[in-house]
Amino acid sequence: MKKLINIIAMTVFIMLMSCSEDFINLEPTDTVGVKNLYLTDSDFNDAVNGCYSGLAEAYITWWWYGDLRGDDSYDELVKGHSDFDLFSLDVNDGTVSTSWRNWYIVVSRVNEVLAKIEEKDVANKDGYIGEAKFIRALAYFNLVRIFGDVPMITDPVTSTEAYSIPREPLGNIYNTVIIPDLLAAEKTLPVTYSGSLVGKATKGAAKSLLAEVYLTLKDFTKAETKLQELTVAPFSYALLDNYNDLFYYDQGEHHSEYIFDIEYITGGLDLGNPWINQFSPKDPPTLAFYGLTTGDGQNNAPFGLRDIFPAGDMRLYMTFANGFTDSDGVYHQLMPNSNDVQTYTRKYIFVTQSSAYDSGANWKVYRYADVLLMYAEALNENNKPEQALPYLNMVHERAGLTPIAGGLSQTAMRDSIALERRLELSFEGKRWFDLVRTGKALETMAPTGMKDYMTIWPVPQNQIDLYNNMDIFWQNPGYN
Amino acid sequence: MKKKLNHGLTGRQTLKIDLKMKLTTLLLIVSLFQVQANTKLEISLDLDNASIEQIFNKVEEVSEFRFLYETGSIDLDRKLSVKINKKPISDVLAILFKGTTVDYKIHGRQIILTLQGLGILLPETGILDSTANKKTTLQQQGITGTVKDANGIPLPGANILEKGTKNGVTTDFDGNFSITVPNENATLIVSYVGFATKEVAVNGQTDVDVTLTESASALDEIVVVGYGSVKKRDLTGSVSSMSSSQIMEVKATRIEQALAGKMAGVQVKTTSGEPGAPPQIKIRGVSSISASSEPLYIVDGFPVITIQSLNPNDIQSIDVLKDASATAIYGSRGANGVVIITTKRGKTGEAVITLDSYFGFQKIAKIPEMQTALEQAQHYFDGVKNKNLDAGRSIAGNPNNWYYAVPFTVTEILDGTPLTQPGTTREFGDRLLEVIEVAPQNAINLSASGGSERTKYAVSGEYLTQDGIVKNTDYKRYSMRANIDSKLTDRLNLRVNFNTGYSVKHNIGNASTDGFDSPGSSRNSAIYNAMVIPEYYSLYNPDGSYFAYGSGLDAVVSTWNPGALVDPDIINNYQRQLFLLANINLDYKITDALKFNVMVGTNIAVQKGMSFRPQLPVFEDNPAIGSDNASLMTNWLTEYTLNYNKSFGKHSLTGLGGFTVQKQQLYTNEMTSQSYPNNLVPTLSATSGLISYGSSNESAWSLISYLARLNYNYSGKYYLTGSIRTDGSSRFGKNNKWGVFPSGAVAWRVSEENFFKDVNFISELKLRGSWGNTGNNNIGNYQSISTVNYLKYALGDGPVGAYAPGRPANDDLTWERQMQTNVGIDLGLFNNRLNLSFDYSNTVNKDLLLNVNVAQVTGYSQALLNTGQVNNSGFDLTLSSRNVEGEFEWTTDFNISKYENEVKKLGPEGDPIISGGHITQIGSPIGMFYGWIKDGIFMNQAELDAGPIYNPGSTLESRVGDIRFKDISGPDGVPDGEITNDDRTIMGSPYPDFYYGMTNNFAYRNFSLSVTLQGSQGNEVLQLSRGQLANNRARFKQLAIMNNYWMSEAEPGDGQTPRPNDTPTGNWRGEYSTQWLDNGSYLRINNISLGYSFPEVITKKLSIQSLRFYVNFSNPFTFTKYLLFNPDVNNSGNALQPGEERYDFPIAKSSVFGVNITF
Repeated sequence: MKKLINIIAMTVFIMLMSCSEDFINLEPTDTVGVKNLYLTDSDFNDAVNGCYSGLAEAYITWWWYGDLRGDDSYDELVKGHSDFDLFSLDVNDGTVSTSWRNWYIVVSRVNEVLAKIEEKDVANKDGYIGEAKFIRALAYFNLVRIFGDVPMITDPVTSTEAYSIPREPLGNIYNTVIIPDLLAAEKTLPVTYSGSLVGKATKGAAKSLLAEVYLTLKDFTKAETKLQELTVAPFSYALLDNYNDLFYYDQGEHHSEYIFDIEYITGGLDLGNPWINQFSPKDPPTLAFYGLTTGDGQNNAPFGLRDIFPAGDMRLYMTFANGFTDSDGVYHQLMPNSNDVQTYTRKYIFVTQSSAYDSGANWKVYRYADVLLMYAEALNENNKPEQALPYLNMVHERAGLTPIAGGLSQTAMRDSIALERRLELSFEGKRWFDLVRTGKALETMAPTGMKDYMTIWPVPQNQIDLYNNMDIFWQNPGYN
Repeated sequence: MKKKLNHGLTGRQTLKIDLKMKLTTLLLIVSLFQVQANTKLEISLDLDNASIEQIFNKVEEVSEFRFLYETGSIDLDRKLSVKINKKPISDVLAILFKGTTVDYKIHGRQIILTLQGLGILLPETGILDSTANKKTTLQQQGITGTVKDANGIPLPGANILEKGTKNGVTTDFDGNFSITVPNENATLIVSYVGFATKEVAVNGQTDVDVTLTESASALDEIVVVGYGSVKKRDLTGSVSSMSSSQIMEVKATRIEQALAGKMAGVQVKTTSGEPGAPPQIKIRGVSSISASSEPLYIVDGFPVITIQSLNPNDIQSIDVLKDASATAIYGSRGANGVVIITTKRGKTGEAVITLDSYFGFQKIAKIPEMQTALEQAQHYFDGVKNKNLDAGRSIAGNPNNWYYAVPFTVTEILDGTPLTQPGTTREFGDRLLEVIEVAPQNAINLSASGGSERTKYAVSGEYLTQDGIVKNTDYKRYSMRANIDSKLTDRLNLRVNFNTGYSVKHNIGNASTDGFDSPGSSRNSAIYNAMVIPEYYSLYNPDGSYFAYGSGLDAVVSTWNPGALVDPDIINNYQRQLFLLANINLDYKITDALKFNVMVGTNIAVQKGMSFRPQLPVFEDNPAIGSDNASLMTNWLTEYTLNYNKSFGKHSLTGLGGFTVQKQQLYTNEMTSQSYPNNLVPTLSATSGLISYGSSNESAWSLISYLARLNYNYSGKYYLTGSIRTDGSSRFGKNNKWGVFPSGAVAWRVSEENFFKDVNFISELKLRGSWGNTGNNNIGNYQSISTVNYLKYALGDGPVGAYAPGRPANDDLTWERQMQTNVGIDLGLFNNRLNLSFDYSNTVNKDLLLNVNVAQVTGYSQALLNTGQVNNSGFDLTLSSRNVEGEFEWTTDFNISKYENEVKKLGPEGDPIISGGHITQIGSPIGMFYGWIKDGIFMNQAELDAGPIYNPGSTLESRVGDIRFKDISGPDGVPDGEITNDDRTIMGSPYPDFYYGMTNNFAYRNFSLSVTLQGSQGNEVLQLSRGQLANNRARFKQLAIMNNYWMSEAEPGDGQTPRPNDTPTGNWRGEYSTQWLDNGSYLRINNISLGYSFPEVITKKLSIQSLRFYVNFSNPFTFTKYLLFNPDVNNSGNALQPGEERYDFPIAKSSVFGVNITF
């Protein structure tokens, strides 16, 4: 018995000794603590991919801001959508709140990369910094265009620190973050990528974004310079011969006209987007025709948009539809249903997807036609309408139209460019911001319910409640 | 050892199995030997001029001897004086009867007196005493019988006393007894520790079988507390207990179900009727906002994660520790209360083999009253009509041609014209009835227990199968247990508990997780689909195949066919689990007072599950989707405790010190694919490895604890308990690794005081007070560490890996702290026939974990902080009464509880948490219902003009016939005549004013009846399903309450139901309002159990010990105003969103018939 007691006593002793602090210091084994990452070249590659991944999330609802808010899309069906469309949304709107969060997630991921990479010596350091800064500039550009003044955060911050960072006048954000980030990015980013890197931000992407920033700030001289650079070597951007090929996604999306896309792929990988089903009509015959199982009838093309297309403009087919022509050549108009929506756009429909709401169509952030029209705009604003005309006509003629004749006044040229942008870029997230940028928003949208303060959206009420400090975090005027 | 007499007059031994007989004989010899030794006991008497009767009484008082004689045969009044000092009984008798004609014989403890010359029948042997020379028996009555518990289990060692005398015996191992009483009108008092004492009139019977029912009030009952046990009388904390017979009365598939309605302060909600689904248990209200409020379960000393696989028949007792002085010994896991489950152990004696088996049926307990086909069609019609009117469109002419057209389906149904639309039928019917069924359930339990003085065993096996009342759901469990106790040496004891089980559960999809805005994603739920489909649609095509409710049908929202969703040939969905719980205890008695105990145990669970849904038109041709998951959980524990137990005069002291270590590891993996080539093979093997999601995860937690407790009492009057535990946990942040959890309690048994002795009607009065500190460590693993989230993106037209920070680090993260004070009183009246126990407690829950909203510019929306505070106070009261005693017996146990919580502190800014239709704000209870208050409907234009109006000027603005909501506030904090978000307010409470339970037990001869009820009063339920079932658009079938709607000023309906509208205006369906609330009060008869035990004459013939038949009805009646299946809801399981319904799995009522046989 003595022996047994000894054994037990020994066991207790061993247990007591071995069960020291180590026993209760457990680290996760299926993920790693942040402290173990952001070390190697490969780490930073993946961390930058994480920033792109944030863009992919944030851009899912970009059409609400760029298209639905403007006059080229309507959607009165779904509560929430109609709030955007009809300027009736309130400060608690969930989509606005989600976007706020998503854009700042992108910003914080970039800040983390930039803070961590500073002291590291990794092979592609400049490239990663360039990509990160491009992404941050894009995020802030979108933030200030949606919300106006926003907190300017360029380093990782704790929640305690965050409460003392005020909404920064947007001019400061342009001058301190967006423009310097893009000037840095355009220097270090490569002109093109190959293989598995295709899709990352390029030098051309940085210049395109910078140009739009200058246009927005009405710095047309700098805009013209940036845009001009994009039309010459080392860049070799060119319009596709056929406008429709831009939307026949199976022909590849990284073509000569592509500058920067948000990349999506199908395959049940949670890397697709829902637009094909969201934007398809709730019309069984049409769905069957396109081989779709479901359609939500959102983001509809208004008849008013159809009516501005000149005869022979091949872009109309992609932009606007209220039916389909079957293989026998019979035209089927959408059945009018009790919800009164009878139109749609074809721009996101010709894409394969492995299951519903899993489309591989990219979101086009910049393509060369956009750059050409911006260039024309910059030239015209610098009072060079005749120099602008060829660039306008490159886009115009590609649509199967006869060239616009010369001799237009600056004002007439401005109108022509604005119209061309509408015809060319509808449903690509541009229209609303063009209206705001060119000061046409209120006159265009007032009939729909817009009031003067609605060039920007309300900041999320939940964040206002959280700061609970009107001095540094206030609601946008008019939304109180 | 008390004397045991075997039956005398029958030859029953010859019927017994051999082994058993040998054992009995052996033990009988042993016991006789001991009695023989006892007769040498020396007796002292000093009586002056006492009657013989007085002397007999005195002898019986000072010794265990009992006198047996024929009434009238002995002269009891003869007086004499005796002075005897320490003489054996034989000498005493010689003195008493010297010179009389009385013969005396000593048989064991019985002294049999006869007149000389008469023989006597010896009860033990059934043969005549050889010394008797005349064959005649006494008029005395020889009675034999058996004492059993309500389940027919024999009770060894029960006391049988002839009323008004000291004449008594005890039962043997088989519960048998034999007693001789002087006349046939005697009454026997039968008592047994832990059972209600029973009086039985002999009435000339020679065979008396007695069934005792357990009494909760017995002060000698052993109550299991953490790391030990105490007698109920010595308890200082608040503990509720339940015994095996109470558990077995309820034919529960899971142990938790047996607790329903039985214990004060323990709220058991049967939220789902899914077979094998656990009820939700809350002990003394809600103590946490985001961490789990589930209690800690301890099975035979082992803290386990799930008790799903335990067999209710194996349970000896359940003890629920409620106050902090009881739970603090479990430290950082004690805050939600502790449920201690003790399984049955073998007892010394022959094998007791018991077979318990039942079979029965379940059916849905309630079917909600919904619109009929014609009502729905009319609602639809009127809704479209109103939509046209609202839009200024004409409603002249053919409704099918209106601007917003009435569907052909609707007009055809209403007009009785031929049906032209696909899927429509005139064979109207509630499609819910086509997915439910009457479901069988069946269980077989076989157990054996017994053992020698050295080694005892209890082994059992179980097979349980229960089909669900929704088709294609079921639960099967196979389990076995072996509990072995062995005395290795005089000082060393070994105890082994081994339990293993295997369960299979088939389920269907549910609608639990979605918000009400997106009913589309509920399509996986058969209940959802079956409830919303109009009666005028059939589930079947004319050829018998399932009809596909896809897009494009004119009068139904695209739903999935519920018949297909519950078709086992189509949907495949199961979870299988293999479970092991085993531990070994060694205790070594160092001295008589000091014991050292070592426990090593493990709990292992292996799970495997899969699901498959094929690609079919009934599922809108969505691609086939399948998933596969598996997990392995291992948990091990070592525990070393030292127990000290000593009495010094009137002081008694119990001490406990211990050290324990526990660690759990969990490995899971899951894969999903949508790349099935066809519908033929449901496993992922068919997908050629094309997996759309795959992940495997590992996690672990570990805990080191030191614990100590001291119990002191003085003279059974004054009690003092103190305990302390220190927990070090891997879950806590590095700045807060260790927590200390002290507690203290005092008790005073006032009734033991001398000054109280005269208060006769109060038999027990105890005052208790306690204070303690516990914790809730259900905060998840690794939460203090900043980790990354793995992400992905598409580059080069293919997926690439990515990551980003997932959450910020929090080195301060720690357990939730609970401080609880409790005062209680235990009162026993009228010789403990009426017992009352009352506890009031006040709890402060601090440092509650909250996912606090943080400024999103940080890149995070929320961070986990220890910041909240919730106070919880209330009382629970238990009342037990033995109403009627005797041959007919009636006992009542009643309990009632009321707990209220109040949020005292939220995140740093204290901002309220609004989640769905709930608000959690400082000053109110957690998760109160939050929304608009309905204020009738706008009956006419004048009322509409008076407002308030929703969204004035828009197409959705309120109109006549729409709901009027209360104008609570506006942007400036005052009512503004407009209905907006500012008008949301607390609109109801998910918490009952009180909840209660009652059990009535009746016993008459061999019959026993037990009725348990349970109720909740004053709470409301947020019915999320009203997003469809009462949304005023008859595209979904509506609840019948929607029928009496406003039609016109002349026909205003019930004044509460708005006009139908296909595009509801006045924000009828948009926001949460009181219109979504339903009355959650109910009173439910949980269980009725009726049993009949066959009398021994029959069981003897069958050569079995006992035979009992029973019928059991569970949930036979529910009294409630609640409209849907079951008012006991908690769909989200989230403390912030309590009391939510959403197409819950209906609960069943069942009737089972069973038999219990003991061999």
